[in-house]
Amino acid sequence: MPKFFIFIANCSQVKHHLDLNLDCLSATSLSKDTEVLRLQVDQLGPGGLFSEQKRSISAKIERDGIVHAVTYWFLIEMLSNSGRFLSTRGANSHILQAAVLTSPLVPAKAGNVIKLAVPYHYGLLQIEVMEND
Amino acid sequence: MRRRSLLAPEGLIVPHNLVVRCELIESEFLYKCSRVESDSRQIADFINIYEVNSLWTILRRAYHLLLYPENCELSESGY
Repeated sequence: MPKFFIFIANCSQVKHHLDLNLDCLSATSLSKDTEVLRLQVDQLGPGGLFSEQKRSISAKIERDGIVHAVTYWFLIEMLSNSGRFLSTRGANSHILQAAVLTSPLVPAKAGNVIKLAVPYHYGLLQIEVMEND
Repeated sequence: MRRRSLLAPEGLIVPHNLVVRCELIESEFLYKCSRVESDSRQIADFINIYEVNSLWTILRRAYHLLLYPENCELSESGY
């Protein structure tokens, strides 16, 4: 492999991945899944897709380890107030999962609570580690 | 105020709610793939994982649910 490509790859240091198949990824789950964001897709204004939000959430660590990434996926409610969601977490979902790498790495112990900042800006989603209690 | 025609032609079902859920993971593999650190063997993995962080991509694909619903998992209580 030419060194130039290695240089480019190292420089870009991709932090946000889409199309990850979590069922095939060698990974250990450190926390239970937590709701990050809820958007009303067909709604304009606050809370809708075309909005700006900055939330903070807490995730409780259940197993000792090092947090390398925050993975996320979607539940899509196709019909209003149906209470039935299509999950993109399932192995058969054609929409795969996504992940944001943590930088720097976050050591975590069972019982710790990690606060995450979730800025959302008109369709762009980011998840960042704020603090580790 | 609703504006269905912006996202889909009139008459098509438009996703109503979108809930994002997350989980913290330990994955040295993912971490190393993202930071190649001169290991050419991992370049291939790196190239296969690309960066897109727009929900538009997700929503665009969500319309495939209408065409290929059998490929998607239905959950009543969330996952």
